[in-house]
Amino acid sequence: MSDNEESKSLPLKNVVEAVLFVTPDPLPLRKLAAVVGASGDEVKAAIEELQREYEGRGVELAFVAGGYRFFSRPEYAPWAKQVLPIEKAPRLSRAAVETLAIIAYRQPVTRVNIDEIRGVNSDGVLRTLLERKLIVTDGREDMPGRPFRYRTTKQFLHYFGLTGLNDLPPLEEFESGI
Amino acid sequence: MDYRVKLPVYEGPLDLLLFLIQKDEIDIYDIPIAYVTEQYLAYLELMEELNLAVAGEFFVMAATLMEIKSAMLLPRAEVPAGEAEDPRAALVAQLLEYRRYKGAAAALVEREAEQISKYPAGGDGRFSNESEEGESIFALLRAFRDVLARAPEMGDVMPGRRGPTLEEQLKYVRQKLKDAGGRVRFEDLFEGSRIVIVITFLALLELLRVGECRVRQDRAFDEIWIHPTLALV
Repeated sequence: MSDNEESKSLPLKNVVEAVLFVTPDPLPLRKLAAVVGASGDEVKAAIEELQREYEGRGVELAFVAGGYRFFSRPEYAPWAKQVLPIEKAPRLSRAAVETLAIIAYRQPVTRVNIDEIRGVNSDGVLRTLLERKLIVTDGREDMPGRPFRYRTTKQFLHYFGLTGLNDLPPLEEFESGI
Repeated sequence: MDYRVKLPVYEGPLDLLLFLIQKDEIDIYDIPIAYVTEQYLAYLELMEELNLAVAGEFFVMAATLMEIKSAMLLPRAEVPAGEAEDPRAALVAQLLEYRRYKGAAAALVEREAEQISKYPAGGDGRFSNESEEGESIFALLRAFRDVLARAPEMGDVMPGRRGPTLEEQLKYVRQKLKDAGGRVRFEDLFEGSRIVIVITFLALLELLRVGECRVRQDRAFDEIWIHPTLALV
C-alpha cells in the first residue's frame, strides 16, 4: 500500500470503522485485515471495541454470513425503511420456513425426504425457495429417479442473520416441541 | 347471511395431529388412537363443510389412523408381551420428528422478524449478488422487448436517413447517467424511433461490457435500474 506511511499514524479502530462503513457486502475478517494491513487479532480487537462503542446507538456492527457490516437496529426499522427505495421481499410463509428448516438441518436432502417429514407435498414451496435463492440444487441422489438434492445458500444465512450453519441451534433443543 | 369462520390453517396432517395432541395435553408416547382419530375425522368434516380445499394427504392420514386403530384392537396373543411392535410406533416417530422441525422453523421465524428490520449501511446496497449476472441479462432483454413493443411502429424512419451511430448513443447514455447524478430507470433511457432504441440498447450493452455501468434489479419483474460505476460520476 502506497499510503502506508500515512495510515500508520491513524488509529486502526477508525480505519476499520471507515472500511466497514462503506463495504457493499459483509466483509470477512481476513479480507478486512488485508485491507487495513493489520493482523487478524488486531482487527478483531478493533471490531470488538467498535461494537462496544456502538452499543445503545441506532446502528450496530454485526457479523453476518461470514463478514462484518453496519446495520440499522431492528427497532428503528419504521423510520429507516421510509428512505429506502425498495421494500424488502415479503416474509416467508410457514410452509416455506418449515421446509427451509428441514433443508438447513438435513442437507443435502431430496424432496421426498422433505415430504416425508412434513407429511405434505413440498413442490411449490421448493420452487419459491429456489426463486428467492434461499436454496439451490446440489446434484442428484444416486437412487431410482435420480432426484435433486437441495441445500441452503449464503443468501439463506444473510436472510436469517446467521454467521454459518453451525450458528443454527441444535435440533435437539426442539425435542419437546414448542 | 355471510358466515366467516376463522380456522387455523394446518400445514398438513401432521400439523393437525400435533395440534389435537397438544390441545388435549395428550402424551405423545401413548396416544389414545380411537379418540384422536375421532377428533381428526371431525376436523376433516368441518373443513369440508366449510368448503375448504382439503389436500389429499389429510385423507391418507385418516386412513392410516383408522388402520392403526384396528390394529390396536387385534389380539396379539402369539407374540410375547413387551415384544409386540406398537402399531402407533411409526406414527409417533414421525410426529416427533416433525415437531422438532416445527420448533426449528419457529426459531427461524423469530430470526427472520429481527433480521428483516435491520437495514445494511449504504441504503439500497443490499447484498449484491454477482451470481445473478446471467439472469439480469434475461431481465434486461425482457425489459428491452417491452420498450420496443411500445415504440412507434414506423417512427421517423425514412428512406435515406440513417439512425444515430453507436458512438452518438454511447455519448447519449453516458450523458443521461451523468445528468441523473445516480441511477437511471431502464425505460427512461429510451426515446425516439425503433432504430434509435435499438442502437441505444447496443450502446448500453457496450457500457455494461466495459464496466462503465451496472444493472440492478432487486426482485424479478421489478424496476430495472442502470447505475454508473464510480469512474463516471
